[in-house]
Amino acid sequence: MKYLILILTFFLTGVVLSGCDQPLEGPPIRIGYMNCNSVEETMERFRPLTVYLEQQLGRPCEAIPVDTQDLESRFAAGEFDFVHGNSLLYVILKENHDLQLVATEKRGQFGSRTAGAIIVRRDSPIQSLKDLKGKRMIFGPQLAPSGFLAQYDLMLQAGFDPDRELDYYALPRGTFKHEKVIYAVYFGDYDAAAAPALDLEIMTREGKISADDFRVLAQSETIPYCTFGASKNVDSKLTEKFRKVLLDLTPETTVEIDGQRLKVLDAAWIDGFETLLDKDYDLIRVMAKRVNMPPYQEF
Amino acid sequence: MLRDRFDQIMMASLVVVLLFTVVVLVGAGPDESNHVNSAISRHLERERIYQARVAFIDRHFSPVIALRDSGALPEALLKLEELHRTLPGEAHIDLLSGDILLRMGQFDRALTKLAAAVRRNADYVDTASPLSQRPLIESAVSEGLPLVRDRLRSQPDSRSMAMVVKDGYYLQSRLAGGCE
Amino acid sequence: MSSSLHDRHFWVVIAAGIGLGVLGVLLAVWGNPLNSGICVSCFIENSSGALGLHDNERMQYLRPELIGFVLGSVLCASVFREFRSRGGSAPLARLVSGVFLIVGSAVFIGCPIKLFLRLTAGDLTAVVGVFGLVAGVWIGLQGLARGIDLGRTEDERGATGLLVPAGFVLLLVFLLARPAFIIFSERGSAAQHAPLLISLTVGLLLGALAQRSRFCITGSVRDSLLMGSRSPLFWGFFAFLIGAFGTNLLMGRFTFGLYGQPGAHLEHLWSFFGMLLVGWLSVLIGGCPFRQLIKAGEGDADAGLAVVGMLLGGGLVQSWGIAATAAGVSLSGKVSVLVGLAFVLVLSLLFRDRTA
Repeated sequence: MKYLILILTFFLTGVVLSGCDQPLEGPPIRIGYMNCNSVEETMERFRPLTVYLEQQLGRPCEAIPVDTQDLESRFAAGEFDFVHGNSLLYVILKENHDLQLVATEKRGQFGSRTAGAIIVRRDSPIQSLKDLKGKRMIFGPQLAPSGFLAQYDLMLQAGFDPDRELDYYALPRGTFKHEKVIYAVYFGDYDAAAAPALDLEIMTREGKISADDFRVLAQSETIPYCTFGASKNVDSKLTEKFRKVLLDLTPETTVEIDGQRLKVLDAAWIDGFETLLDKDYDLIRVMAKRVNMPPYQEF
Repeated sequence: MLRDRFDQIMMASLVVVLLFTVVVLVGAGPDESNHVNSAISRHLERERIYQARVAFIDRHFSPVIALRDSGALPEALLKLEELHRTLPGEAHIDLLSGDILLRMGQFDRALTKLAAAVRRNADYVDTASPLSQRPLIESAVSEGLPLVRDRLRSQPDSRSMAMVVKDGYYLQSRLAGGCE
Repeated sequence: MSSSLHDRHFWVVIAAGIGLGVLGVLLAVWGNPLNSGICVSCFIENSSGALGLHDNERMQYLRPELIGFVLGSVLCASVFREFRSRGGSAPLARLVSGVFLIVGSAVFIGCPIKLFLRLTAGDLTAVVGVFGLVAGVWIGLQGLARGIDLGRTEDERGATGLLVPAGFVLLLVFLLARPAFIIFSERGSAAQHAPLLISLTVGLLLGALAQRSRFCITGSVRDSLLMGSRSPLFWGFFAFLIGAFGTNLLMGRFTFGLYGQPGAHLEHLWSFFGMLLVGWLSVLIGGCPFRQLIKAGEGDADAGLAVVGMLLGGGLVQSWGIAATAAGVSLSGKVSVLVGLAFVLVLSLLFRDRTA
């Protein structure tokens, strides 16, 4: 009986102590998050995920917002242990700096994949890519795989050279570039736009545009969506643990921040994570070579 | 058994009650106040519900089907996104999404969507139902399941692929039949 | 075994086994759902739906086979003067046991007869169910050996044993007359059925054979564990398996594999627990769901209460989402099986004679 009480006491103590916050040990894990629109938005999206990673990994994690064009140089300088960016950036960092693939984000109809579409307004006389000759087009940011690369490649594959055959093409400035390209066509400022399929889907779902407002002239094959990668200098066990935490996330997973309980995936605008293989990114490599873009750009 | 007067009264009463029951059953005509409960009415009501469902699908989804059939698959998907707002939880959205994704070669997503549709509405695998989509689902399973199984073999740790394979097996099982 | 060959009862048991196996497959060929030519739990759920005890539109049909089983048993028992009104052995416990027999079967998706019909059709998901059933029967036998006893069934006055058979006569009238309040599915698995006359005739034949032979799936497993090949039921069960397997092969209904089987899910743990519950309860109350129907036809009011419990259970498993589907086992299904196991454990504690 005495032994039973002793065992129960130890057990209960363990249970009580395990509920207490454990101190985080070790050097902070630095996670670079590519800014889509602004630093504020990036932190709002990814702070809950970072805090959750901290709790699960038992190490402090630091969320570092970084602009797309600075990501490679700062990664090369060793500022990040893990990075989150689009799939073209994964290919660039993989080819140039041996980034290790961790997990791919899932969002929207295509899950862990996305596509680039070329759209015109519903009432436009443009019926095919060939009709874009002499027209004005707006693309998304150059390093956006589904906002520039996929569409540019789509046009080249159709025998249409945007640089020579379009009258004019532009890239929007500032934030919310993908939405701007879509509105630019809607309001008639441009004849056609390179719009990510995911952004079309989200804006339609949110009621910002109607499916009847546009025609999709062409859409690329699907390519992987945003991706987490790890520096080759990170311990493989930590990388594996990091991956597992991401894959174990469910829509119901929550984390407490500043007295608020938030759903981790919801806050990050993510449906979940999936493991892809490096060869799943080969299509991006092929597109980048055809379009003469990094990491294969030749001058 | 009929020992005394009480027994005889009980037996006689039983016979009378049984005879009266027969008379009531035989003599009963159509009960207008209870018309809604008649078997024919129930059958007609079910028929009307079916027809209403078919008309509902036709009204809301014919633009999607037209886009799909004309090959404008991305636009058809966008149209479904719009319908998601007005008809949340509607099984036919999942069904058509699965159909379109299958045509786009997105087998894993197609299997997931079609499984979700069948879970919500078993009519899609029911040969006897006017809403049956068996050919589509059979095609998705026959083309998609081997591919996702191969994918899982090359990535045995992929939980999401395991879920897709599970969805594929679910559809396969539902197509095979059973008591549900 | 050699002495059994001269025993008429032995051959009646063999006939019952073969009949159940062959006709169990043929009923599916003639129109019943695949691998569910005979499934007492599925039929109970369908019949409960027809009576309005649940509103699953795909599962409402007054199965003639069930009616045939009971009335076949009545007729055979009457002819051979074996009809006896009896009861009084823990009636309420048996009613609740009837509910949980259907719970366990619904979570597995099939009664013990369907378990083996699925197995002989090549469905490997049934293997785990077999282990569960055998384990349940074994545990039940351990309980009986240690004094668990629901009490003796006594002869009863007042012909109470006629009530359940009379109820099934009424169901037969309903089946034939089709009054407005009896619901018949027009789609789904309940709309899949063999012609009425065939179903009824097969039910009557099997009911009579089962009454005469005392054939019972869990009883066969029980006797096999206790007496091995010396038990006629062991051979009857073997005949059932051979009959079913052979008919499945002949009719092209054999599809070997774990995946894509009709009416089967892949949650093997719960298949095990579901059949464990069924096997265990069957031993304590003296027979599987099929046997309860047969005994009810013989005038056993306790079995009759189990049948009433089964009908109640048939309604509950559909209304409360307990019944499993090919998609898997719901939370209610899992909890219900665990509650059922808790019930049978309580039963074992309360009904144990510790003086022996």
